[in-house]
Amino acid sequence: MARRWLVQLVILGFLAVQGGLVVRAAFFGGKLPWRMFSGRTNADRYLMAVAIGPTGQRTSIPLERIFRYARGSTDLRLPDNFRPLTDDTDREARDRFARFLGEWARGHDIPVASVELVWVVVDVDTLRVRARSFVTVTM
Amino acid sequence: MRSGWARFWFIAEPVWPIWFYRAGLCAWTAAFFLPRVPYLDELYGAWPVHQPAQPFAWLGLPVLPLVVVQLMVGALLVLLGLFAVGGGRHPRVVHAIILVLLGYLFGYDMGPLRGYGKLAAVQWGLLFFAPYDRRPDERAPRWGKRLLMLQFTSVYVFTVFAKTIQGQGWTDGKTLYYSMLSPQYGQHLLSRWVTFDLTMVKVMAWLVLAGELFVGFGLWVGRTRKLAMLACVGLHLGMALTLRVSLLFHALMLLHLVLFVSWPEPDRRA
Repeated sequence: MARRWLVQLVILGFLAVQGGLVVRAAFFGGKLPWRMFSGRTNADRYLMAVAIGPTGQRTSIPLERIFRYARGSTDLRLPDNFRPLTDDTDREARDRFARFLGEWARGHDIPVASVELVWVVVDVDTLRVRARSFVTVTM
Repeated sequence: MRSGWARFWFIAEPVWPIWFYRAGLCAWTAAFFLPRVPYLDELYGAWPVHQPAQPFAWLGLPVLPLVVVQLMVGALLVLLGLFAVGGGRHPRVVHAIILVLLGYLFGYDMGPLRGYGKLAAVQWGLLFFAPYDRRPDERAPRWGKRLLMLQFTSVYVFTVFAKTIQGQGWTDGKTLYYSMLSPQYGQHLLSRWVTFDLTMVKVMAWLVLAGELFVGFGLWVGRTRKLAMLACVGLHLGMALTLRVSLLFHALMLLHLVLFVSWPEPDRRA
């Protein structure tokens, strides 16, 4: 009998979590779970890192050589999902990432005085390309 | 009401679907980790792109040395093999160790982990309540299996609401249209060779929403179950042919259909 009550408690706990997710979304502005493909714009975004040498020479840092793991069937690498690069909430982490790339470039004989991170945005409908530099870190 | 509740959760059912499901989940989890093995240093090392899951961040859990992570993944793969064929003498203990290992490996990788990884983590937890330690020809109360089934179908129902109420671009088809046009997420097999216009994609988007709702509810009704299973296969086949979504996602979702096969019929006297 005690076991039956325990089982019912587990079931009620499960239902409470599911119901709680709905209540949170309906009344407290929470996000519903399982939001895969719940919205998309016409933009594809690609991260680019540029090493700028002391003479102003610009060399692209090959991110796909540093981050070799590609997600699922895509060519997306770990930095593509690194939140500090997409929002502005953690500038320290973003700068640390840029410095890490700079150190890598220096270790591979690429002249580097600063590192610039750029989002290249491609409109998938018109194929128009825009580049937006969002941080430059001095080494 | 009380008898309905008892019937829904506690009728005794054959255990074999749970055996299939357990073996399938083990194979799926091994397939999830094997391609990651060459990249363990990148995925679990102290790289400046790490975003551990929230509980890990709160606890301030340190990054473990690579050799420890390698041992954890090795142990996990061995235990998955053992658990897939029954779990030895103490399947619950093996399951508990697997949960601990997955807790770290899924949790520490939770930042880039996609929806299907999170679903697998939830299902590994819920599987603990299923009677997989009985013989496959035995019958056992189905409440653990029901939890797995409810979690699975709730994904389809939640995703429809997430797309229509909180999301955007589904009623006009634009989200699907842009996804299929995108080289990052689409331009894959069929969508690479055929260009779908927006009107056609709008119809497809509504079919997806209707299909997901039908799978979410139709699997629970005896009369519509087979059709809902077909709809589920069709949905995932369509996605696999047009979008760059990992095959692991489709495999995990389709694996759950075995839980909805009821043969022989449940014992209503139990």
